[in-house]
Amino acid sequence: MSRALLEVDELCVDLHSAGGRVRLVDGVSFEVASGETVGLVGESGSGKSLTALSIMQLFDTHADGDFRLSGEVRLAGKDLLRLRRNEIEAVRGDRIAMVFQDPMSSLTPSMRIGRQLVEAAAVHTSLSRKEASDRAVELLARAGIPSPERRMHQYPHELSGGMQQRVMIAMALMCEPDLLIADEPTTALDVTVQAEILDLLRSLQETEGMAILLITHDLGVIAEMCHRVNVMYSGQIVESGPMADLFTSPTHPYTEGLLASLPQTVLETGEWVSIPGTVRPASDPVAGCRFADRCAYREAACDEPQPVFAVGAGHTVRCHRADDLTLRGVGAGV
Amino acid sequence: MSERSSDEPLLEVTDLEVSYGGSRVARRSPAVRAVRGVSFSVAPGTTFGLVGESGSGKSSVARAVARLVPATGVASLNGVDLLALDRRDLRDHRPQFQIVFQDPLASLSPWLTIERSLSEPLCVHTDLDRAGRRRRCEELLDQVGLGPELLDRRPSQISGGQRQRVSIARALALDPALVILDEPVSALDVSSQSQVLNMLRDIQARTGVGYLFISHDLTIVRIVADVIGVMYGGELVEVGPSAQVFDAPRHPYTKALLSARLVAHPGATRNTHTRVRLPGEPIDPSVETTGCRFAARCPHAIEVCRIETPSPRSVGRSHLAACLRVDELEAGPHEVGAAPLDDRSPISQSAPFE
Amino acid sequence: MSESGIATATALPDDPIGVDAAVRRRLRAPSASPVVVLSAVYLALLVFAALFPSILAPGDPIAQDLGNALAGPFQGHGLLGTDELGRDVLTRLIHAADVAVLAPLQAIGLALAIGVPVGIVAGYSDGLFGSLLLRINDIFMSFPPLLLALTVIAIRGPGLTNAMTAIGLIFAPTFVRIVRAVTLSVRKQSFFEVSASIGTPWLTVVRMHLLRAIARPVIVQASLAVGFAMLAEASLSFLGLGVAPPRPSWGVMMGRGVNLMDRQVWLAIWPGVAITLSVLSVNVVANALRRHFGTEGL
Repeated sequence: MSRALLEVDELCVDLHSAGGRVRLVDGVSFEVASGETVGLVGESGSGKSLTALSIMQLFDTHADGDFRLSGEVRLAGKDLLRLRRNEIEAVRGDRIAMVFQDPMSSLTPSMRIGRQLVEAAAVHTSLSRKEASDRAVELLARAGIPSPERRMHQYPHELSGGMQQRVMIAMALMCEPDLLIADEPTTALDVTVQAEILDLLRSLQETEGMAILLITHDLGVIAEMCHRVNVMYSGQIVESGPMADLFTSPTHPYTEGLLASLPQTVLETGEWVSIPGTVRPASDPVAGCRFADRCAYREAACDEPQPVFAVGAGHTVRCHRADDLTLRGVGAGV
Repeated sequence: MSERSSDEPLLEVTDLEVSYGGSRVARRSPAVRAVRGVSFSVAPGTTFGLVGESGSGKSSVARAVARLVPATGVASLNGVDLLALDRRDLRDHRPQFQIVFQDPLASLSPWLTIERSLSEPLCVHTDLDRAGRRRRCEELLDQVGLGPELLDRRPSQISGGQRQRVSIARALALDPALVILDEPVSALDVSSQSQVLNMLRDIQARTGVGYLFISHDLTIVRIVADVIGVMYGGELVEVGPSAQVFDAPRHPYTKALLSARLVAHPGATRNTHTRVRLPGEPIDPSVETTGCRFAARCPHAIEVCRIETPSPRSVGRSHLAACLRVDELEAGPHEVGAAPLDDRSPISQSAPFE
Repeated sequence: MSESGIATATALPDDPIGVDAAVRRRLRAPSASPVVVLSAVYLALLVFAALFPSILAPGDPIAQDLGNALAGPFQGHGLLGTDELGRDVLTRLIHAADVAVLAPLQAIGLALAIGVPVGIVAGYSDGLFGSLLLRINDIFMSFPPLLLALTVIAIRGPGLTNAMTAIGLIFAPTFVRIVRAVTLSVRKQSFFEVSASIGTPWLTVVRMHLLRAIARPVIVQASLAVGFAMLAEASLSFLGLGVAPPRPSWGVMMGRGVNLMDRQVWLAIWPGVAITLSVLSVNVVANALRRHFGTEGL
């Protein structure tokens, strides 16, 4: 069995300061294989963005304290968390590229687009300026930007949101990364533009054989794009498995609640369901299941730490009641 | 709630126009027409859903009806034209129509307790004393499913869903006839969204308040609205009962919007052949066009579309669509056979303005 | 469906990394370090000395004892020595504290009285009038401070009030800027539009929202400005343009002391120490306030 491209193994992220310590990501483990799209879905407080940023270690200090990472993040077998600064910089942009939600904050406003794209290549590859420039034009065209040569000389603010996002994607592809991490890539875009950008990502994946780690709160995006999904809640992965299985046969009560409260589900079933209560904050940890206080299936044993159980092919869940509960899913055939 | 005949609309908007900018000093920046002659009506006790992408003008419509931005036209609430009221009459009339915004955190002052934020309308428009106001605040919180212990907290101490409910409670404080909701759940988590939407429905059933519900999300609008209006480029391109507009859209833009939806059920839209692909981006409000504003991106546009401005035509019971070709085109969400993106010659977005 | 039973503090993340307000509160280290506490205590003592000088200081600040003039510290005549007229230095220092406290308050008071209303008006005014206000403000801000003070004094004559008026005018533009900036950002917030929708009268909006919004940045700036004002008063008095004799002031004392340095060096040192300690304490407390208030609210 070939090794997965990216293996995240018991990743924990703590925020330390003089006043205390808070665990924001708790023992997250998942894999991404070459050529597949894996989704990391969760709501606020789930820690999904933090997990993605940890892979590339795009932060170390925060206004409120220092982040400490533990666990392992292996790219083709090599642990990224143990790398020295210059080594991780060599990986970033080259083997792993990242696309963010807000393109305006990722593109330098004072530099022309062409120059930003060429710089990305200059740092990591041995392409000459001319070769890099040609590749940039080619990628802009592939990303669906009309008149790419003209765009090379424009500044980011001269483009619309959808265009900027395409430029970001082109920039991410400059060095032919093995893995693309996309953090809410379409959340800020219009519906019609969103569909186009996702189509673009999918087609690029097919042609480049790139793996994609897609972080989002939008289950529609997940259904559209992902082969496998990890559902995060309050810093932990509570369910993980093939996308279709997760939707049609969820095994964690949170996943069931999430699916039931979707507007699409309300539309189809006519029933209004919502998960009561609110997310337990990270500053208020508990030893047992973090979803227990909102769970309709709670029992005494839920106060114990919940191990991960396997419930099917590649399908795992963090709930000891997985075997005796039959939860309701959505989608075809349900 | 006042006695009124159920035939009389709660809100009747006629030829609403909203323009921004147009400074007298710098003649280089002409006014931008964000809303271009929009007309619709809201029946009492119902929800009108206004849907569109960026630049469609839907938020401007909301703000214009809420008298937060200058506008021309008529916006008649229970017979009173809100746009014609002078400052004093407006102030007295404001309790009748309130607005709820998208951002739960920015909607509440971070320096005020929940009680003080909720009391603002009560301080301005009622004579209640401190104790009376507190009681009313407790009632209001109860109406939106929150407990009185929230009164002494600050916004940063409660969740996004709770904040939005407080904003809704504040809008209901003076028993308005109409509540304008501008993307009320777009900034909330999925699990909070359904809580809030369900609550809004309950309140409407109990009090008979009318909603003008603005959103970019068609699925949400479908489940909350009785009537849907679709906006593009400052104009209303389609209006009709929500089930009809959703299941049998008549305007090409509505069809495109529906087909672009990401359905959160697997297997539903993997079939991208049926998706309508629109070139470019939604039209910028500052761009002037002749003829139909959607023509530049429309898969069915013909020459006359760029010359003649389509006016709304009846396509069913209370169902209107502003398209010259609406009778020729089939009803239905998916356009099998619409020309794919690559085959079409680029059409410039701004035709010369004569 | 009441949510009352659920965990007390939950909030949406306020920044992209996802650190929410609850976590932030948990992590915040206490802001009262020993230095801050000491400074606060010193300032409290200073205010006490300003209000009740006779309780702290024995003796009469203007009683002369020519026979024991220019005595050094710990020589039996006055703890810190005496000046050229035999007056007790320590007593004079303590009695001068009211100037040290009063003067900055006068100056900052004036600066706020001008700065806050003008700042609010500037924040509300879009277009030509707003730009004009801002430019006038910039003009005031670009004057070298002491030059402006000297100009005012040249016109109106020396004296504590005139000197403090000058200093107040120097600080006003900074407050105008701060208040204007906060007003502008508050106007963009949704709750502000909601106030318009409710029909809240503008005076109530100012009282209920704006004043609260500007409170923290203004308090922080004011406390920093107090230190500057103290220094400014001392400088002006040092130059003979501030307080008139025989009223004691640290600046005046230092001015005299510098002239007499060859004969009694301590006369220049003690007032300097008093000024330094006071300004430093004010700055330490101001910085602690800034850290404590920090990122709350907008």
